[in-house]
Amino acid sequence: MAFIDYYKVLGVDKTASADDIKKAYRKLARKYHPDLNPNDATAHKTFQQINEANEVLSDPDKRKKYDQYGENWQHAEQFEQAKQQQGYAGGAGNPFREGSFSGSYGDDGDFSDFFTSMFGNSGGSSRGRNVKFKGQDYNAELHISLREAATTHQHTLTVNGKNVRITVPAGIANGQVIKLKGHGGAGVNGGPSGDLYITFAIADDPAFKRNGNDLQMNVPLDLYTAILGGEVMIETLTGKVKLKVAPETQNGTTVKLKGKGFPVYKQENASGDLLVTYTIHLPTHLSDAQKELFKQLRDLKD
Amino acid sequence: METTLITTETCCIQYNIEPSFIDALEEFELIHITVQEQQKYIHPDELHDLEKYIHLHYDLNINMEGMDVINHLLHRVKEMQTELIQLRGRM
Repeated sequence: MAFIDYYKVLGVDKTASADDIKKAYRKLARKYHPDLNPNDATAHKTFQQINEANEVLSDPDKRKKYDQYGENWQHAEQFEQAKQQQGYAGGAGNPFREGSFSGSYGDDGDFSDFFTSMFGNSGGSSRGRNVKFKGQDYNAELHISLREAATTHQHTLTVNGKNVRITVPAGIANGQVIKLKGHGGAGVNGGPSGDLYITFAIADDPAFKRNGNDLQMNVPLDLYTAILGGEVMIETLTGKVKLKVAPETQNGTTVKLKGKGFPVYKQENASGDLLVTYTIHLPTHLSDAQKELFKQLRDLKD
Repeated sequence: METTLITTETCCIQYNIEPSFIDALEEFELIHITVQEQQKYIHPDELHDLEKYIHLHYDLNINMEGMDVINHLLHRVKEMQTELIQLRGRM
């Protein structure tokens, strides 16, 4: 557990006034506030650090204790005990109307080990504004394969110790968010429960690339089939399909298989297309006889 | 399941905000208010946004016009993030 320089976090001097701290905190909060940086984990983490620094430096008691012990924070507990013996009441309120932020960020209450060891779990004690009515919203990420995303299937998630069973409709998109109403934290003072937001992360598939509802795949073709035409067996999402290859097919030619792509989200029996791109493989390790025949072909061309 | 609407008074008490703040949010079309028998209500689904605007206004000192601009920009950011994910998937 490392010492945290809260002055450095807020970018202020150790002699900064309460007003300087408030100003610095607000400036940084405007930049890193989670409501202004959606889906940005780095900003969220930075905001928590700023919040923690403000929690300490904006509270005269906490700041005093922090200044006094600083890097020798390990002795803070002894300090507390000594104070309690002297009848210290502790925990005075924040002088500012605006406390730290609280509310709907899920892990907003996470303070560093350093903070907890020095101040206990008192984070948020000085928060001025009551934003606890609706329960906390929870965020979860569900990783599924492309093939799983192509079928309607069920998943069981464990959120805060509770099992939540969900049905994932076929055709869900990468990054799509599903809201499960009321599956977040409990409300306060009769407020409604928070919601559970599940973000889907769909892994890349070695065979298919997805573009909306269309799928794209590369199929190798040998030179002779490409030139003379023939048939090739391919594996689509729903099974094997035999494709007719036209004579003199060029490298990179794409053919479209209607309805063999990805299922359309919440539209039964509707699917995108499968785009098959041929990659022609030239023969190697030719025998003398084969080389001779190629020479004859070249001469015929001239 | 029937949704229970929440009176704007309850919101003002629970969030420690002024009624005029909610009225202004509605005026700027940032939240939607339902009126039934002269009583103003907020749908529970709107609370998430209401809390967001409370943070922005009371904690960050952003005025209504600023929040309106932020709202538009956040929509664009969201659209662009979705597009980015799709483009990455194509690569």
